[in-house]
Amino acid sequence: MDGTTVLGRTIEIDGEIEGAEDLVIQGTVRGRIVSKKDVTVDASGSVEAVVSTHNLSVNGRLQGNVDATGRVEIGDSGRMIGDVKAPRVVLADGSKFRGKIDTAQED
Amino acid sequence: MNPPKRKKRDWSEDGTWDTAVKASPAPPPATEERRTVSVSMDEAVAVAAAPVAAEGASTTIGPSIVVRGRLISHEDLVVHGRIEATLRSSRDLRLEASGIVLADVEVRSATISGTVVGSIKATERVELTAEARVVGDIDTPSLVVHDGARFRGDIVMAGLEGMARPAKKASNRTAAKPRPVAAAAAAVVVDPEPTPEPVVIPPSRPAPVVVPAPSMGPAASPVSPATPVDQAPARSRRQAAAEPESPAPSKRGWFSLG
Repeated sequence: MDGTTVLGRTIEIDGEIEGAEDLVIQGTVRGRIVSKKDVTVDASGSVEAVVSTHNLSVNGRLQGNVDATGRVEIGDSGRMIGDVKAPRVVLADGSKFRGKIDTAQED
Repeated sequence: MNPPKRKKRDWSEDGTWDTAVKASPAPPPATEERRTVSVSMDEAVAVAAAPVAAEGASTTIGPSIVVRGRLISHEDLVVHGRIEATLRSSRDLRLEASGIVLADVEVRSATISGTVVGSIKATERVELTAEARVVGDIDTPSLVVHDGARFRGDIVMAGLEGMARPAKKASNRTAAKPRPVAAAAAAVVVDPEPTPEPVVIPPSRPAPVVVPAPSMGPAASPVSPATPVDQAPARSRRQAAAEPESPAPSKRGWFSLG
Protein backbone atom coordinates (compact mmCIF):
# COMPACT_ATOMS: atom_id res chain seq x y z
CA MET A 1 0.00 0.00 0.00
CA ASP A 2 2.14 2.77 -1.28
CA GLY A 3 0.16 5.94 -1.12
CA THR A 4 0.97 9.49 -0.40
CA THR A 5 1.08 11.03 2.99
CA VAL A 6 0.10 14.66 3.09
CA LEU A 7 0.96 16.47 6.28
CA GLY A 8 -1.59 19.24 6.41
CA ARG A 9 -1.05 22.89 7.13
CA THR A 10 -1.61 22.65 10.83
CA ILE A 11 0.72 19.74 11.35
CA GLU A 12 3.90 20.51 13.17
CA ILE A 13 6.57 17.90 13.68
CA ASP A 14 9.73 18.26 15.70
CA GLY A 15 11.92 15.29 15.23
CA GLU A 16 12.16 12.84 12.48
CA ILE A 17 10.05 11.46 9.68
CA GLU A 18 10.90 8.29 7.89
CA GLY A 19 8.94 6.73 5.12
CA ALA A 20 8.80 4.68 2.01
CA GLU A 21 5.99 6.56 0.40
CA ASP A 22 5.55 9.96 -1.13
CA LEU A 23 5.43 12.70 1.39
CA VAL A 24 3.85 16.11 0.91
CA ILE A 25 4.51 18.71 3.56
CA GLN A 26 2.09 21.58 3.91
CA GLY A 27 2.85 22.24 7.54
CA THR A 28 6.05 22.53 9.53
CA VAL A 29 8.76 19.96 10.00
CA ARG A 30 11.93 20.43 11.99
CA GLY A 31 14.56 17.79 12.33
CA ARG A 32 15.18 15.11 9.80
CA ILE A 33 13.33 13.66 6.85
CA VAL A 34 14.31 10.34 5.37
CA SER A 35 12.34 9.06 2.43
CA LYS A 36 12.82 6.41 -0.18
CA LYS A 37 10.35 8.13 -2.46
CA ASP A 38 9.47 11.72 -3.21
CA VAL A 39 9.25 14.62 -0.84
CA THR A 40 7.33 17.73 -1.74
CA VAL A 41 7.31 20.89 0.29
CA ASP A 42 4.17 22.74 -0.69
CA ALA A 43 3.91 26.50 -0.77
CA SER A 44 2.54 26.55 2.76
CA GLY A 45 5.17 24.12 3.96
CA SER A 46 8.14 25.04 6.05
CA VAL A 47 10.95 22.64 6.65
CA GLU A 48 14.05 23.00 8.74
CA ALA A 49 15.60 19.65 8.36
CA VAL A 50 18.23 17.50 6.88
CA VAL A 51 16.51 15.82 3.99
CA SER A 52 17.50 12.55 2.48
CA THR A 53 15.22 11.38 -0.28
CA HIS A 54 14.83 10.31 -3.86
CA ASN A 55 13.16 13.27 -5.52
CA LEU A 56 12.56 16.55 -3.80
CA SER A 57 10.38 19.39 -4.88
CA VAL A 58 10.36 22.63 -2.94
CA ASN A 59 7.62 25.20 -3.40
CA GLY A 60 7.65 26.45 0.16
CA ARG A 61 10.66 27.08 2.29
CA LEU A 62 13.36 24.65 3.14
CA GLN A 63 16.35 25.16 5.31
CA GLY A 64 18.82 22.37 5.60
CA ASN A 65 21.02 20.13 3.56
CA VAL A 66 19.56 17.84 0.98
CA ASP A 67 20.89 14.56 -0.25
CA ALA A 68 18.80 13.18 -3.06
CA THR A 69 19.24 10.19 -5.29
CA GLY A 70 17.03 11.63 -7.98
CA ARG A 71 16.01 15.13 -8.80
CA VAL A 72 15.80 18.24 -6.71
CA GLU A 73 13.60 21.00 -7.96
CA ILE A 74 13.17 24.37 -6.35
CA GLY A 75 9.92 25.72 -7.77
CA ASP A 76 9.29 29.32 -8.61
CA SER A 77 7.84 29.96 -5.18
CA GLY A 78 10.45 27.83 -3.46
CA ARG A 79 13.01 29.24 -1.11
CA MET A 80 15.87 27.23 0.09
CA ILE A 81 19.02 27.58 2.13
CA GLY A 82 21.37 24.66 2.34
CA ASP A 83 23.56 22.43 0.31
CA VAL A 84 22.14 20.15 -2.31
CA LYS A 85 23.70 16.95 -3.43
CA ALA A 86 21.75 15.31 -6.21
CA PRO A 87 22.40 14.07 -9.71
CA ARG A 88 19.81 16.45 -11.13
CA VAL A 89 18.98 19.87 -9.82
CA VAL A 90 16.47 22.35 -11.18
CA LEU A 91 16.07 25.90 -9.99
CA ALA A 92 12.98 27.46 -11.47
CA ASP A 93 12.79 31.07 -12.44
CA GLY A 94 11.71 32.98 -9.35
CA SER A 95 13.07 30.49 -6.87
CA LYS A 96 15.48 31.64 -4.22
CA PHE A 97 18.40 29.56 -3.22
CA ARG A 98 21.52 29.86 -1.22
CA GLY A 99 24.00 27.09 -0.69
CA LYS A 100 26.13 24.69 -2.58
CA ILE A 101 25.00 22.43 -5.32
CA ASP A 102 26.79 19.25 -6.19
CA THR A 103 25.51 17.14 -9.05
CA ALA A 104 28.50 14.83 -9.11
CA GLN A 105 27.60 11.20 -9.13
CA GLU A 106 30.10 9.27 -7.20
CA ASP A 107 28.35 5.99 -6.83
CA MET B 1 27.39 19.83 4.75
CA ASN B 2 27.34 22.56 7.23
CA PRO B 3 23.96 24.19 7.32
CA PRO B 4 23.38 24.41 11.03
CA LYS B 5 25.63 27.33 11.57
CA ARG B 6 24.86 29.24 8.47
CA LYS B 7 21.16 29.04 8.57
CA LYS B 8 20.75 30.96 11.76
CA ARG B 9 22.18 33.95 10.07
CA ASP B 10 20.10 33.65 6.99
CA TRP B 11 16.76 33.28 8.58
CA SER B 12 15.90 35.97 11.00
CA GLU B 13 14.20 34.93 14.19
CA ASP B 14 10.72 35.92 13.12
CA GLY B 15 10.93 33.63 10.18
CA THR B 16 11.34 36.29 7.56
CA TRP B 17 13.56 35.61 4.66
CA ASP B 18 16.69 37.62 4.67
CA THR B 19 17.84 38.32 1.19
CA ALA B 20 20.60 40.55 2.45
CA VAL B 21 24.06 39.16 1.97
CA LYS B 22 25.41 37.42 4.97
CA ALA B 23 28.00 40.12 5.56
CA SER B 24 25.34 42.37 7.08
CA PRO B 25 24.33 40.92 10.39
CA ALA B 26 21.55 43.40 11.01
CA PRO B 27 19.64 43.76 7.78
CA PRO B 28 18.34 47.23 7.09
CA PRO B 29 14.65 47.99 7.25
CA ALA B 30 12.62 46.23 4.69
CA THR B 31 13.41 46.62 1.09
CA GLU B 32 10.61 46.03 -1.29
CA GLU B 33 11.83 42.54 -1.89
CA ARG B 34 12.08 41.71 1.77
CA ARG B 35 8.64 42.95 2.53
CA THR B 36 7.02 40.91 -0.17
CA VAL B 37 8.67 37.77 0.94
CA SER B 38 8.18 38.23 4.62
CA VAL B 39 4.48 38.78 4.19
CA SER B 40 4.06 35.47 2.53
CA MET B 41 6.13 33.88 5.26
CA ASP B 42 3.96 35.36 7.93
CA GLU B 43 0.93 34.04 6.21
CA ALA B 44 2.38 30.61 6.12
CA VAL B 45 3.23 30.80 9.78
CA ALA B 46 -0.16 32.20 10.69
CA VAL B 47 -1.91 29.42 8.89
CA ALA B 48 0.20 26.85 10.58
CA ALA B 49 -0.35 28.38 13.98
CA ALA B 50 -4.07 28.92 13.80
CA PRO B 51 -5.97 26.32 15.76
CA VAL B 52 -9.09 27.31 13.92
CA ALA B 53 -7.57 26.48 10.63
CA ALA B 54 -9.10 23.29 9.65
CA GLU B 55 -12.46 21.87 10.53
CA GLY B 56 -12.85 19.09 8.07
CA ALA B 57 -9.24 19.13 7.08
CA SER B 58 -7.46 15.92 7.68
CA THR B 59 -4.02 14.46 7.46
CA THR B 60 -3.41 10.82 6.83
CA ILE B 61 -0.11 9.36 7.85
CA GLY B 62 0.60 6.41 5.64
CA PRO B 63 1.60 2.92 6.68
CA SER B 64 5.27 3.28 5.86
CA ILE B 65 5.71 6.53 7.71
CA VAL B 66 7.54 6.75 11.01
CA VAL B 67 7.45 9.99 12.95
CA ARG B 68 9.69 10.52 15.92
CA GLY B 69 9.85 13.43 18.29
CA ARG B 70 6.86 15.70 18.67
CA LEU B 71 3.80 16.11 16.53
CA ILE B 72 1.30 18.92 16.88
CA SER B 73 -1.83 19.10 14.82
CA HIS B 74 -4.89 21.27 14.51
CA GLU B 75 -6.63 19.03 12.06
CA ASP B 76 -7.94 15.50 12.15
CA LEU B 77 -5.30 12.85 11.99
CA VAL B 78 -5.63 9.39 10.55
CA VAL B 79 -2.63 7.25 11.35
CA HIS B 80 -1.75 4.05 9.53
CA GLY B 81 1.91 4.34 10.32
CA ARG B 82 4.02 4.64 13.37
CA ILE B 83 4.23 7.60 15.68
CA GLU B 84 7.00 7.60 18.22
CA ALA B 85 6.23 11.17 18.97
CA THR B 86 4.31 12.97 21.62
CA LEU B 87 1.10 13.68 19.80
CA ARG B 88 -1.02 16.71 20.54
CA SER B 89 -4.01 17.68 18.52
CA SER B 90 -6.90 20.03 19.06
CA ARG B 91 -8.90 17.72 16.82
CA ASP B 92 -9.51 14.05 16.42
CA LEU B 93 -7.18 11.13 16.12
CA ARG B 94 -8.05 7.94 14.35
CA LEU B 95 -5.47 5.25 14.81
CA GLU B 96 -6.04 2.53 12.27
CA ALA B 97 -5.32 -1.12 12.92
CA SER B 98 -1.89 -0.85 11.36
CA GLY B 99 -1.11 2.28 13.34
CA ILE B 100 1.19 2.37 16.30
CA VAL B 101 1.72 5.17 18.78
CA LEU B 102 4.52 4.83 21.26
CA ALA B 103 4.14 8.00 23.25
CA ASP B 104 1.61 10.08 25.08
CA VAL B 105 -1.39 11.34 23.20
CA GLU B 106 -3.39 14.47 23.92
CA VAL B 107 -6.28 15.02 21.56
CA ARG B 108 -9.90 16.08 21.42
CA SER B 109 -11.13 12.63 20.69
CA ALA B 110 -9.44 9.39 19.79
CA THR B 111 -10.66 6.30 18.04
CA ILE B 112 -8.11 3.59 18.53
CA SER B 113 -7.95 0.48 16.41
CA GLY B 114 -4.21 0.11 16.51
CA THR B 115 -1.61 -0.08 19.21
CA VAL B 116 -0.85 2.57 21.78
CA VAL B 117 1.80 2.36 24.41
CA GLY B 118 1.47 5.57 26.32
CA SER B 119 -1.20 7.57 28.02
CA ILE B 120 -4.20 8.90 26.17
CA LYS B 121 -5.81 12.11 27.24
CA ALA B 122 -8.85 13.26 25.36
CA THR B 123 -10.98 16.28 26.12
CA GLU B 124 -14.08 14.69 24.62
CA ARG B 125 -14.00 11.01 23.95
CA VAL B 126 -11.96 7.86 23.59
CA GLU B 127 -13.11 4.79 21.77
CA LEU B 128 -11.22 1.53 21.75
CA THR B 129 -12.40 -0.70 18.96
CA ALA B 130 -12.19 -4.46 18.96
CA GLU B 131 -8.73 -4.33 17.45
CA ALA B 132 -7.33 -1.82 19.89
CA ARG B 133 -4.24 -2.71 21.89
CA VAL B 134 -3.53 -0.15 24.52
CA VAL B 135 -1.16 -0.09 27.43
CA GLY B 136 -1.28 3.15 29.32
CA ASP B 137 -3.64 5.34 31.22
CA ILE B 138 -6.70 6.94 29.73
CA ASP B 139 -8.09 10.24 30.90
CA THR B 140 -11.31 11.30 29.22
CA PRO B 141 -14.88 12.23 30.08
CA SER B 142 -16.35 9.63 27.77
CA LEU B 143 -15.00 6.22 27.00
CA VAL B 144 -16.20 3.37 24.84
CA VAL B 145 -14.49 0.02 24.94
CA HIS B 146 -15.60 -2.54 22.40
CA ASP B 147 -15.60 -6.26 22.91
CA GLY B 148 -12.22 -7.56 21.89
CA ALA B 149 -10.21 -4.51 22.79
CA ARG B 150 -7.17 -5.18 24.93
CA PHE B 151 -6.21 -2.65 27.45
CA ARG B 152 -4.07 -2.32 30.49
CA GLY B 153 -3.87 0.85 32.48
CA ASP B 154 -5.75 3.24 34.64
CA ILE B 155 -8.90 4.98 33.53
CA VAL B 156 -9.76 8.38 34.85
CA MET B 157 -13.08 9.90 33.90
CA ALA B 158 -14.38 13.27 34.90
CA GLY B 159 -17.66 13.35 36.74
CA LEU B 160 -16.66 11.19 39.65
CA GLU B 161 -15.29 13.96 41.77
CA GLY B 162 -15.92 13.42 45.42
CA MET B 163 -16.19 9.68 45.10
CA ALA B 164 -13.41 7.98 46.94
CA ARG B 165 -11.74 4.94 45.61
CA PRO B 166 -12.71 1.79 47.42
CA ALA B 167 -10.31 0.83 50.14
CA LYS B 168 -7.53 -1.32 48.91
CA LYS B 169 -7.92 -4.92 49.77
CA ALA B 170 -4.76 -5.84 48.02
CA SER B 171 -5.62 -9.49 48.13
CA ASN B 172 -4.94 -10.28 44.54
CA ARG B 173 -4.98 -8.75 41.15
CA THR B 174 -8.52 -9.56 40.19
CA ALA B 175 -9.79 -8.07 43.37
CA ALA B 176 -7.65 -5.01 43.24
CA LYS B 177 -7.62 -4.23 39.61
CA PRO B 178 -11.22 -3.54 38.64
CA ARG B 179 -11.70 -0.75 41.05
CA PRO B 180 -10.89 2.20 38.82
CA VAL B 181 -12.86 0.62 36.07
CA ALA B 182 -15.79 -0.22 38.26
CA ALA B 183 -15.95 3.33 39.45
CA ALA B 184 -16.09 4.49 35.90
CA ALA B 185 -18.38 1.77 34.72
CA ALA B 186 -21.49 3.85 35.03
CA ALA B 187 -20.25 6.14 32.35
CA VAL B 188 -18.66 3.51 30.20
CA VAL B 189 -20.75 2.64 27.22
CA VAL B 190 -20.26 -0.94 26.35
CA ASP B 191 -21.26 -2.26 23.02
CA PRO B 192 -22.18 -4.04 20.93
CA GLU B 193 -23.07 -6.62 23.54
CA PRO B 194 -22.00 -6.19 27.06
CA THR B 195 -19.87 -9.08 28.12
CA PRO B 196 -19.90 -10.18 31.72
CA GLU B 197 -16.79 -8.21 32.40
CA PRO B 198 -16.73 -5.58 29.74
CA VAL B 199 -13.83 -3.46 30.74
CA VAL B 200 -11.99 -5.67 33.07
CA ILE B 201 -8.36 -5.86 32.31
CA PRO B 202 -7.36 -9.18 30.85
CA PRO B 203 -5.48 -11.53 33.14
CA SER B 204 -1.91 -10.70 33.77
CA ARG B 205 -0.39 -12.17 30.71
CA PRO B 206 2.91 -10.42 30.47
CA ALA B 207 2.28 -8.90 27.09
CA PRO B 208 -1.24 -8.87 25.78
CA VAL B 209 -0.22 -6.27 23.29
CA VAL B 210 2.22 -7.39 20.72
CA VAL B 211 3.81 -4.60 18.83
CA PRO B 212 4.28 -5.77 15.30
CA ALA B 213 7.67 -4.81 14.14
CA PRO B 214 7.49 -3.32 10.71
CA SER B 215 10.63 -1.31 10.60
CA MET B 216 10.95 -1.15 14.30
CA GLY B 217 13.75 1.19 13.60
CA PRO B 218 16.53 1.66 16.01
CA ALA B 219 14.87 0.96 19.27
CA ALA B 220 17.12 3.62 20.59
CA SER B 221 14.49 6.17 19.80
CA PRO B 222 14.32 8.54 22.69
CA VAL B 223 10.58 8.61 22.80
CA SER B 224 9.36 5.08 22.89
CA PRO B 225 11.17 3.90 25.96
CA ALA B 226 10.74 7.21 27.65
CA THR B 227 7.02 7.03 27.94
CA PRO B 228 6.69 3.86 29.86
CA VAL B 229 9.69 4.71 31.91
CA ASP B 230 8.27 8.05 32.84
CA GLN B 231 5.15 6.46 34.07
CA ALA B 232 6.79 3.49 35.59
CA PRO B 233 7.51 4.99 38.97
CA ALA B 234 3.99 6.22 39.49
CA ARG B 235 2.49 3.08 38.17
CA SER B 236 4.62 0.66 40.00
CA ARG B 237 4.08 2.50 43.20
CA ARG B 238 0.38 2.38 42.70
CA GLN B 239 0.35 -1.17 41.63
CA ALA B 240 2.75 -2.23 44.25
CA ALA B 241 0.25 -1.02 46.77
CA ALA B 242 -2.60 -2.68 45.01
CA GLU B 243 -1.08 -6.01 44.23
CA PRO B 244 1.81 -6.68 46.46
CA GLU B 245 2.20 -10.31 45.68
CA SER B 246 1.60 -10.04 41.97
CA PRO B 247 4.24 -12.30 40.52
CA ALA B 248 5.21 -10.26 37.51
CA PRO B 249 5.95 -6.66 38.31
CA SER B 250 4.24 -4.27 35.98
CA LYS B 251 7.54 -3.19 34.58
CA ARG B 252 7.95 -6.37 32.76
CA GLY B 253 4.75 -5.79 30.88
CA TRP B 254 5.79 -2.33 29.94
CA PHE B 255 9.13 -3.21 28.62
CA SER B 256 8.26 -6.37 26.89
CA LEU B 257 6.16 -4.27 24.58
CA GLY B 258 8.85 -2.12 23.25
